[in-house]
Amino acid sequence: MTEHPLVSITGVSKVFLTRRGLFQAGREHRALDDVTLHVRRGETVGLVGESGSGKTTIARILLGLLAPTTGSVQFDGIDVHAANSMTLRALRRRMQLVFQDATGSLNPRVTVGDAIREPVMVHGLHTGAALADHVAALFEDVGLDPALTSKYPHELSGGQRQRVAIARALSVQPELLVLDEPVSALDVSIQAQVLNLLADLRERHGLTYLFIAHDLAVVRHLCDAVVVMYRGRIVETGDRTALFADPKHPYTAALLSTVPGSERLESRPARSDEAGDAGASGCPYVGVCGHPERDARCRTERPVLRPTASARQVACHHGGNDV
Amino acid sequence: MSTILSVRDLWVTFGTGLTPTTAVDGVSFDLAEGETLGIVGESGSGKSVTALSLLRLIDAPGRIGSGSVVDYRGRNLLTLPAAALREIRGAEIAMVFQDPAGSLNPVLRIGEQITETIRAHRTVGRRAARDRAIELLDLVGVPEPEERIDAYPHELSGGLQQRVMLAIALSCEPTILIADEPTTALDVTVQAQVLQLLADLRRRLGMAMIVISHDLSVVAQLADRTAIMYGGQFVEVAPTRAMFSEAVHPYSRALIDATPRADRAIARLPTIPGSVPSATQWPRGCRFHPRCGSAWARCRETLPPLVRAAEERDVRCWLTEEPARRSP
Repeated sequence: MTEHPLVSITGVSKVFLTRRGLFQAGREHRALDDVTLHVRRGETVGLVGESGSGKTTIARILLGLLAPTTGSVQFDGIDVHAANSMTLRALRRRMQLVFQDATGSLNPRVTVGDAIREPVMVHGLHTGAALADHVAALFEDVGLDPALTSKYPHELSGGQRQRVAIARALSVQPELLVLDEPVSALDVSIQAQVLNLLADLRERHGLTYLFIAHDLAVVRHLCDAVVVMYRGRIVETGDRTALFADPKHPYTAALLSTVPGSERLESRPARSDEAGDAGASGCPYVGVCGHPERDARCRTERPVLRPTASARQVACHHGGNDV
Repeated sequence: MSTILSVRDLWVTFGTGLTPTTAVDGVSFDLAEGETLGIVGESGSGKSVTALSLLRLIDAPGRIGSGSVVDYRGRNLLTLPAAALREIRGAEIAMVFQDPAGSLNPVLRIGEQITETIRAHRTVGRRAARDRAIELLDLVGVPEPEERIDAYPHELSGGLQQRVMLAIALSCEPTILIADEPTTALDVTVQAQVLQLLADLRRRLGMAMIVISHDLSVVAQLADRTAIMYGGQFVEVAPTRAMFSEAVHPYSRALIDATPRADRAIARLPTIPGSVPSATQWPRGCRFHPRCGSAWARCRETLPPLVRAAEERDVRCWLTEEPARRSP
């Protein structure tokens, strides 16, 4: 048996109650439905799906910012949601988050140097001259001139701000970085720089990444394994190369077919694929699924995630063969 | 193919005083009947300001300094009286923006927003305008248009909202549709649907389109011809396929190479050093030279003109005269 995964998310569901009005009963919204996901140390797992598919909810539950309705989350064998505040504090140092919008996540009235100093002081890692050295080293680590520490966020470019956000996440020497759309707000030329930086840092510090993105090309570039989500459920997981070469779930196939190559679109009528209400029992994708073998079973029986031939897991009655 | 829009030497500046900022710096192009032109650039390249200034939608302190935008009837849109321009906007030349939620009025039902445009440009009764609105919603692929017409914008998904924006833009059967980042705010699968719809509508209605995007793949899928902008100028214009297979300008090449692709994985993305300069301080000489691997003294001194480098290909780079200087 190999060592246990760094992150184990087991059977996690999250139900939000939405209030429709002051006197109306709330409605349940199932944001996550029985999600099981493991991230091994040193691995980069890409979490792909559309808005509302539950990607960010998983990140927030993993980091202990949100409690799951059912299920458990373990980080390095420690239950995140059963931990006392001391343990949780120590855990939080070990897993850090980088957001899409560096402008919104940096305080405009604090210099970027102070923004990085703060978490280091909170966790009591360095003080005095050692702290200054640490911050300068972090700046160099992410490819920024240490002279920029006295600047305010608005004085930096978007790419530089995202580097500051990454440096801040690294400042407390974490093992896991949760990257929530870290490059989607950046221009193409800057996006390539930040992706390369993330790849370098991973190698240099032996980091583990949970990489949340909607852009499949970016995921393919950086991730070892890919988890595809649809409406709060995992519909397919697999190794990057295999999954991109041969998607088993019709939703993954649809996602991949949307990846624009340099092929020009042919003209064919397009109707909005608004998914109808799947109901509690059937497959969540049944309303828009274009699989030729789609049948009554898809409407009545919910497909569970099961292993298929090529070390993959697929939640589809018709996707791939059972082992 | 006859030219239906001819843009010459368009200049747009922002700010006042002695040193206004030049956002668009001498852009010229022709749009042929039924053609789709894609304009690609990073933020600050001037692509959106170019689109907005075609219909004089630039607010103070922005100012269209000079140039002409002549349509197929020989009218210069930049000097036309405001009332005459208003008749063209939304009718003959329509526009779709990036953010449908921000472009739709949240307190009006979508039907009213579509009929408003129809009735502003055509003399039709309420009933007929409503029927036309239902027809348009059906055309852009909104399911159950008879019911959805009475929905408020917030009751629709982002993809449906963008379809409603398209229905409004198409309501008066425009000759030219300008789409500024039409799919940027949408999810990937929805984006694919909207792109498909645009391609389909263009063919069925015979419209010419100008598609503006930061996303090369969006333009690759829609445009017949692609222009790449940098520092307020066109740096290369070529048929789309030729642009993607053999870009000549070092910036065009770098931009195409820096884009991650889902159909292949490479260990490391080629990057462009530095970042896009700000419009307040364009470098002297070629605007791309500080980030260009092939730049030499001439590039630092003199701005190259946009010249015909090959058949159907215009390039703004001194390499076209001295190709041996290109660094590998």
